[in-house]
Amino acid sequence: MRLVVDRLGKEFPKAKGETLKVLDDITFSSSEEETIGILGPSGCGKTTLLRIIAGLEKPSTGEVLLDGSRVDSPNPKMGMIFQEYSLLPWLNVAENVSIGLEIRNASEEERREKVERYLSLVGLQGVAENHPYELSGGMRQRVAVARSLTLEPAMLLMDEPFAALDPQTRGEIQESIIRLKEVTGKTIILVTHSVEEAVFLADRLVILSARPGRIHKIILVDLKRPRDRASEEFVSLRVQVLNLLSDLAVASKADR
Amino acid sequence: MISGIDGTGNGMALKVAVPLALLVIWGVLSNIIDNSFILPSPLSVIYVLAYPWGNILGSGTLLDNALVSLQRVTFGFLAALIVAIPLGICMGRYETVYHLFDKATAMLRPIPPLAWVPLSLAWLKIGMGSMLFIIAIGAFFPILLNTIDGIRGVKNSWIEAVAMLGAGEYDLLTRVFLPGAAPTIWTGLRVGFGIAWMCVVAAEMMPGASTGLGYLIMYAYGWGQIQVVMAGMVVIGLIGLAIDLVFKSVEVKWFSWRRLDK
Repeated sequence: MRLVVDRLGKEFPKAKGETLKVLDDITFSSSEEETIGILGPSGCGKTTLLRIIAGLEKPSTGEVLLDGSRVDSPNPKMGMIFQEYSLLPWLNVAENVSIGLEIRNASEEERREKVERYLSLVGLQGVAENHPYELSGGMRQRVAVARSLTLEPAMLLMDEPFAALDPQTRGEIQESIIRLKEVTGKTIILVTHSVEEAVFLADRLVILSARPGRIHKIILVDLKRPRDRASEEFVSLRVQVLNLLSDLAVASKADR
Repeated sequence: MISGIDGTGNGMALKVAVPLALLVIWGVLSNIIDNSFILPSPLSVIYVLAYPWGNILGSGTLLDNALVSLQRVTFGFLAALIVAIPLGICMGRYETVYHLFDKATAMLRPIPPLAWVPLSLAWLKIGMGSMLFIIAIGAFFPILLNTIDGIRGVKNSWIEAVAMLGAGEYDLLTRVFLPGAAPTIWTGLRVGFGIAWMCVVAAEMMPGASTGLGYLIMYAYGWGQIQVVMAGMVVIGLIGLAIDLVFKSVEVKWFSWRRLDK
């Protein structure tokens, strides 16, 4: 599955007929089995970019192509994991995970089998009958990941999915994302504000400048896996990206 | 305890203290006044209540009249619900529909159901139709407003998450909007039924009514049977209380997720 983001721009209407430009001329593509980390100063439109890729929002200019066809509405070939807690609280875990399959009218057997498979893939067992409010934040996000996997999307879009988690949980869930990637070979596009997370997970980093978000730089993360967060190369790349981001943030403040 | 209701002392004694005190005051007052046309004794009222199957002044039993009123309130309530819930869903979901109906409903809402009595008589004549109309008007607005609120309160992250799984508008309605809004809609039904129950009694006092609890207490008043009036009022209150308890217990049973999900 090949994703092409082609000269994408987005403007939001403001008061008095003015518009606010949040994204400008974003072009990049991703190949199969690749993890792309999207980073940038706050307000650079990272989340908007991901939402446009997901088909949840329409671009003002340019387009998103998935295997050559234009994305303009949510597409089950892409799964999305949201920053906010997005499970349906009136359903239990198994019902939440199988909702996509139910919409697709899958047989009960298929639903049961997939719920079990994907819950264990994200490292959750014995919680199928629980309700989301009985789970910790990290477990809820794992359920959300399992839910998005049931339709076997080629691509996973993640919008700061671990931002609300404590550091330890966050580390654990990052490890399971890597495992998941090894098992399923999906393309992952991850929006994050954590440089460490991006360097740990991504094969390439797309760095956006501050508003309007433009591609400032694309960095190849040429570190072999499993990655060691304490290794010299890891730390030096992390510092390099951090410096880049703080320069961008300073530049954007100077502009205003 | 810094704020909220003090949790101590949930005993039975506390809950029945005020009703018992009122009963005692009533008993003492009726003894002092000693005029059953103004304030009959509690015992005479209890005596009426103790024989709900006894025919009262040739206008049916307490039980029969209560059943008639319950039947009316149910039909009027259902008529309101059939219109208010779909309209509320559309108004909550679609901005255009909201603006289309918002001003009209906001203007009609403050008109009390009783103000509709003359019109309902003019349009629907004396009888069942005009009574149901009054009852339905009473139940309509709480159901409508709560349905709109409930649909609007459905979180965007729920909608988008399920849309990403391939849900169309119909799936979103049945799997996200309705269950997500259900607790708030239920509150609307509960409040709406309460008001409908008040309206049925009022509607039964309209000209032409010849059955129901509302009719019974007006009729008994005409005969100076104040103990029947008061017994009828007690029955109206008890039925209202019982229905409210049913609504509440369903709320606790089905919609606990809303309380637990923080």
